[in-house]
Amino acid sequence: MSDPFFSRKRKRGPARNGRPIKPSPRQEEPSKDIADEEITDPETSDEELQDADTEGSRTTVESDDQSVESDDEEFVNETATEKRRRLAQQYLENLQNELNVAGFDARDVDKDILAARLQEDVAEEQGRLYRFLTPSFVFVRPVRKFLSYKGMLTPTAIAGAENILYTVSKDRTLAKWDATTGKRLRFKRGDHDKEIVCIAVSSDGKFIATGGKDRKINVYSPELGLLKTFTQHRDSVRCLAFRRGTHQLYSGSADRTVKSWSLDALSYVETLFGHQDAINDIAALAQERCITTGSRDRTVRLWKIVEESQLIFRGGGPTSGQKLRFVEGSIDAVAMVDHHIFVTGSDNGTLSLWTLQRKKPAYSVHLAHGLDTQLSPEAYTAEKVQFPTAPKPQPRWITCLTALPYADIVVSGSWNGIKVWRVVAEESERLDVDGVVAGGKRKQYSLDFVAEFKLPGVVNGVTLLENGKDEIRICAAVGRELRGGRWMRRDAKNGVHILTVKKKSV
Amino acid sequence: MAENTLPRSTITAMRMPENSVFPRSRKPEKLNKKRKNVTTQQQNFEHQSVPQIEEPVGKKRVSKHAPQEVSAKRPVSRFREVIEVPKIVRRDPRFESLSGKFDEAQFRKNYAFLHTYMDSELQDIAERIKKTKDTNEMQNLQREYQSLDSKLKASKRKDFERDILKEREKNERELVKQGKKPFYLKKADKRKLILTKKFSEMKSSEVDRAIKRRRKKNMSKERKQLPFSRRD
Repeated sequence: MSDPFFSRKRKRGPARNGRPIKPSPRQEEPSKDIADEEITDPETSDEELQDADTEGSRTTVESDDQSVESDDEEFVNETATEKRRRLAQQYLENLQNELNVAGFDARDVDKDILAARLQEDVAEEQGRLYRFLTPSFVFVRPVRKFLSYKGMLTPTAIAGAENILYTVSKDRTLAKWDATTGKRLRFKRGDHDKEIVCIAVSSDGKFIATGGKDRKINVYSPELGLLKTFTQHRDSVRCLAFRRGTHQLYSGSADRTVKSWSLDALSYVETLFGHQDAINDIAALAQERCITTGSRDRTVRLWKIVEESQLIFRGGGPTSGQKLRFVEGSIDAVAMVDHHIFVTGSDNGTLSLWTLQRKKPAYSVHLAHGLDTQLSPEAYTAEKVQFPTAPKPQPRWITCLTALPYADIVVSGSWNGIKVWRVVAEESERLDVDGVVAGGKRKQYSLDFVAEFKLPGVVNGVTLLENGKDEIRICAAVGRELRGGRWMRRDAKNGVHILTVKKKSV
Repeated sequence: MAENTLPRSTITAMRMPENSVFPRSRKPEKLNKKRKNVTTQQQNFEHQSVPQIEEPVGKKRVSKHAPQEVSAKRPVSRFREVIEVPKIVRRDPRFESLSGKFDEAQFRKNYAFLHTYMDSELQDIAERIKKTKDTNEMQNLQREYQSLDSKLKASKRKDFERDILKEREKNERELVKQGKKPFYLKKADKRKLILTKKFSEMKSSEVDRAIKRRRKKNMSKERKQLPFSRRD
């Protein structure tokens, strides 16, 4: 091939993980050792990679362009355009090598695959929903598996990365499971003095963080070795989330603060204030932003950490336009779909879809999990002479919510099972006041019901694991009580239900 | 969630957020000025209300539908209002622009009906004066009578003067329409006009009396300007 891209010698190591993540202005981006090693695979026939071997020992890749120039004399006299070209070619090379794992010649990698992958990267960088998976998966009769261990109390949260699941429960235990085989690999007990309430796993699976009622955040390695304990929170730590692709951790607590931690340095970074009630749930994607819900203050806040500001989204209205009206008393769960859309669930059963542009939900599904069964007279009163009318059936709260990042699947859980929803984006033409078509298109989002899976017990946590491109595992942590207290007791076994959903065979 | 023993809806004094049905109640203004430099050590936020803390960043409103952008670095107190009481808005119509500007002519028109009662009231007071034997009361009534009487007379005089001047204005306007230049009278000239009209309507004996009174008045005024030796 006469293409200079293939014949030119390269001294500089490859770009970080094939994805150019923009560095935050305050922090240096951590290195990705694994990616470098994969690319320096000597089996591939490309001669350029042999040069990269010498760079194998160099594990840190600086983000500054100036440092690159100081290292390589070859590129000192480059112009800006030439440099851009060179970096773009390196990026393409990385992509090709990533797609080319089977060992074929890089030149044979289909250009369409490469183009699709490039589009994905661009979309993820833009932060837009680009994976429309729901239509291509079959949600009927998934393969079910149940994981539990003897003496397991109500699981309060679940998190996972790749094929590993982690659960925490009220018996102060952190358990590690293999999602494919269903075996419990490890468990850890004794680091928390009170119930463990939340858990988060970084997207590469390297750090596991748990938070509990004892105000501690414990950080573990994948072998469940305790790395660090953070005690800065002043009340129970209710929720944890990792920034996707990094080792930054965000925690929300009952002391109404959100704290940011850097796990590369195992240190506390900063605190964010604003919520007026305990923070129930937190969600984050690749940006240095997180979304938290403030339970009874009925607000959902997006924290722009770099700019030290917050956007306030207000919920709390009754279910308008419905025959049965239940006021939204508390917003309990949140999941981020992409950088501009997120979904929340509240205690009146409302599942709301929000956009960053509006302070009110863009779309709401009322009574998403229906109404609870009416209590029998024996259940609602201890008196012998019972009231003639039983209390009206109340809506089922949405206890947990999760979404696949940048994809259109949202799963919500309550105490009658889980429901799968689809985020539908419709482009409609923007109309003027008089109804005349004005310039520009407006995107309208809505939630479509896809499937329901009944599970016994209260679903306290749910997470989605992707097994390649063909399988999605919906992992629901189910218990006999609610995560936050003992307001109800259900007849069920404490454990994790894994529902494997497969892609449609064409 | 709260501890297991507490029910989900706690009945402690906790403030409700801004999204309630009632409008926000405002706290006394002086506390507003305190919160200039808020540090993490400052924990005494007992009476600070939500609107004070949620002050928007940049103070520029992007759109009323957009979410509010607020600083994330201001600590929030533990106190929350559970039920918001609507603030009673007190308005003084004297200082309100809604009441409009004072228009004297309109005011007179609106309250012209009061003059219809004044005559009957005068008669009423006169009767009471005749009846009373108590000197104190009589003095009070006499004062009242005097005051009301002079009010009536003053209003009548003012009406009379206004009519004269209005007539003149009307004539002037017509002339201006015809093409003449407008001519404005001095105050002295206006007084002269009023006086001439007044005298023309009075009887000769009354006119004499009026003139006599004026002359006396003017004399006494001029007398002050005379030197002491020549004063009588």
